[in-house]
Amino acid sequence: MTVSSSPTPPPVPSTTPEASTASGPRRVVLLGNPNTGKTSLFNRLCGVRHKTSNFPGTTQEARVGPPRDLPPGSEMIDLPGIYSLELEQSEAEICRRVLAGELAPRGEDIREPDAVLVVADATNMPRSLMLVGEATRRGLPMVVAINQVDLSRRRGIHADERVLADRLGVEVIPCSARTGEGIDLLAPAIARARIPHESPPGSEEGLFDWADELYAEMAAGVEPIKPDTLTDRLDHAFTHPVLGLVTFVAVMTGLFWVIFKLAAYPMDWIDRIFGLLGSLLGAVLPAGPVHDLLVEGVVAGVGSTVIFLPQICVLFFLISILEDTGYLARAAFVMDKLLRPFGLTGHSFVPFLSSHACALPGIISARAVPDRRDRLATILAAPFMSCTARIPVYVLLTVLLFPGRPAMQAMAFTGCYVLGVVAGLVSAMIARRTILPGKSRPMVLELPAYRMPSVRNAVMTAWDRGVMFLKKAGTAILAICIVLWWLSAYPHSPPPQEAVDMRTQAAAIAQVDVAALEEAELDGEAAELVAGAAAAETRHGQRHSFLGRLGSTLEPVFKPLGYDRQLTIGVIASFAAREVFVSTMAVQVVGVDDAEDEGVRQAIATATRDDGVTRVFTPATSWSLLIYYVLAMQCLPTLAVTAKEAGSWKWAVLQLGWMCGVAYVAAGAVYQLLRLTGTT
Amino acid sequence: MPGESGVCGPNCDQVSFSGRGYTPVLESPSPLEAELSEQIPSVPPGEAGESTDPGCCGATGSGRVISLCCMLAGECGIIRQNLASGADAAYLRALGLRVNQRVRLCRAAGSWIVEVGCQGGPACRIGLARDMAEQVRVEVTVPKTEPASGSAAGN
Repeated sequence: MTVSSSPTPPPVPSTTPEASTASGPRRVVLLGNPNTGKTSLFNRLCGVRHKTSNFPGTTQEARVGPPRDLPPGSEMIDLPGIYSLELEQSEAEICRRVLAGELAPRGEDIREPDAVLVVADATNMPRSLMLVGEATRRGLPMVVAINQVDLSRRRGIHADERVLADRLGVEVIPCSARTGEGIDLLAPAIARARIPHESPPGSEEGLFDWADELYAEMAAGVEPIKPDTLTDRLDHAFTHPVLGLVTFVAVMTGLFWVIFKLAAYPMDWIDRIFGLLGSLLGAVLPAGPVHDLLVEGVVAGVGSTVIFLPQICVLFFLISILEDTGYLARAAFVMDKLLRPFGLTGHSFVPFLSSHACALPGIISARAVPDRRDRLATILAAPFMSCTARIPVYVLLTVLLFPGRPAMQAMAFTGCYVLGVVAGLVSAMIARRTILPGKSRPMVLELPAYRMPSVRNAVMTAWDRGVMFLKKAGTAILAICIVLWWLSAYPHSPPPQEAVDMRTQAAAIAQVDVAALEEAELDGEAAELVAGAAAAETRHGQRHSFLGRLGSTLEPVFKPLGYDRQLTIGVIASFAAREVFVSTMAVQVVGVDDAEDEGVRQAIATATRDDGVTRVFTPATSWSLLIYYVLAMQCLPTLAVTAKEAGSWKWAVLQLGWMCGVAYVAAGAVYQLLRLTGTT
Repeated sequence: MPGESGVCGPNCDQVSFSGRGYTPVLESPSPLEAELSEQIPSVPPGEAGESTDPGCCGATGSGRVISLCCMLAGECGIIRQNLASGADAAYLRALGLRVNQRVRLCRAAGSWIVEVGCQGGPACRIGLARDMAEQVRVEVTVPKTEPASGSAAGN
């Protein structure tokens, strides 16, 4: 829109409605259509100082921040993007109630807003005017921000915003959240916000006529714009039945390659930092329960959570970039055709995509699925997607299955991802045909214009999601890690005879007292004996801990899957978080938890069961474990988020029962089949 | 590809607002359009000479009223009726797919992409699944003349 190049002078209203309070705390709400750059504008006005909560009784995110250049104590609320205030949608209801002063984000007092900042899209004024018209009916002080003027100018879209300002008697500010143009004018305008002196007739038809007439007046005497043939060509490619899918696969492959490549460095740094922190704490604190709790429980627990943060941030950064370009809406549209036979729509695509990094943000992003049944089916199926926590398990098992054959390892690895997707889709289909019956709501989606993505916006999104991940997952995982540590560390048992003998032997070789072995400088055979004794003590402690006893008790349950006592302990220990399986097995077999060490991996590969003859990891048990870890629900934080997002713990219990049941049956079937065919 | 002299292509009539609905500037309304405009906003299917059967996809020429999913890629038209049920109909209207609105079908390949606001001004694109596209009935004003590259019927 070529809105005038100079700032619009404040309008002279035909009546003189009072300006809203110019000083003191102010509540400003941001209202606009989706894809109008509303959130970018919020980011420009509030920066990273905002907080994310939700509207009480809903899963709808609410972002509240202190806007720059407004009096201290002012707050800006970013309302959900809506096409109309009158729609029967939860988002529209939230907006209606916030504007009426009946609802506020969690933690904020409930009161009427002091001003409404309506964000109109300069590239689509006719539709934006309908929302502007609906907002004027609320009788609240108002300012209209016409965003994306840079884009409209580039496309040759012309309209005169002074017409709108004159008609409504409110300030209309052309701006661009992308370039920063006009942003400085918004805060003063908000401070002078006025109640519009004109609003459209009450009927829907009246609103349409009012918006049409107003736009005709704004756009009078301007040249028609040139056709957008580039968009036509890109749409043709991106939504083509074959080319669209090929593009989709290429984009997704690139996305995950970048995630794993880029995130690997910060993950390594985080691992080192927490390792160093553990060592420092270990050296400073005296040995005892507090030492063990802090070093092995808290630091290790926090470290195991924070290590996934880079992947989450990179994923959401890239998703934001893709969304900004306009491609993601096309990808969802392409996926709609593939997901529909499974009772889902293209809206489920982003939650499934996010779940490949971590099921927590995946399930949270299912809020964007408009139909409740589709949303529940998406939430139930999302954890089947192979998250990054499964990767260490996949790596260990594929290496054990195909030692020295990287191509086969890669195929098995890919197969795990495919199996997860298929299991998720089939589960969603079963859910939609049984407990969530009914036809899917047909997909209707606005396809935003193609444009250059905003890095600033993507960084803000990544930051927002990262903080949310740490808050929601970090606390839960930390608590779980502490409980798991306690279960695996207690009760303390006396050292096994094997360890006592080794220490006695080492003391004899070093010619020191057994009690002085820890302080003595040992080398050669004595050092090896002491290390062996420590490993034997760890194994013994693990076996006689609460967790070890639980594993022994549950061993018969997992026997049909081919698991012995040690594997059962590994499965039980990783019930809360899958990645724990690898370190638990290392502790079980070798007595240390460094599964990255080649020697430790070799020891795991050749470890034997209690009979001393049969291998723990045979091809049959390895395949069985691989299938089990692809399909099983081994993540307590995911269950907590499912319960919250689905609105009831019954969905979380159903998810746990279904996934573990499917995993048990599939892993058991694979093991028995391989056993019968002699592959053991 | 359509669109040499306007959003809808060389044959597309440029229109301006005239208070209620749109009035073509370069062309007079067709007799059928004039007849229909008197019955707007509710033209019962089958009363304006058009077929209500999706089988009307075989029909050609301007002035025919067919469902959106029967249009050919590149064709322009005016929405005459929205047969979707309450909430869906309201959602379509809010998105801009309302009676008297100009549209251009950009793509018809299993899912439908339609450009709304074909009046030489700002336009937005809406993607619709077949179930929803079937509910929107459009009077074709600029029929496809070249061989269709993405026939709805074929998908």
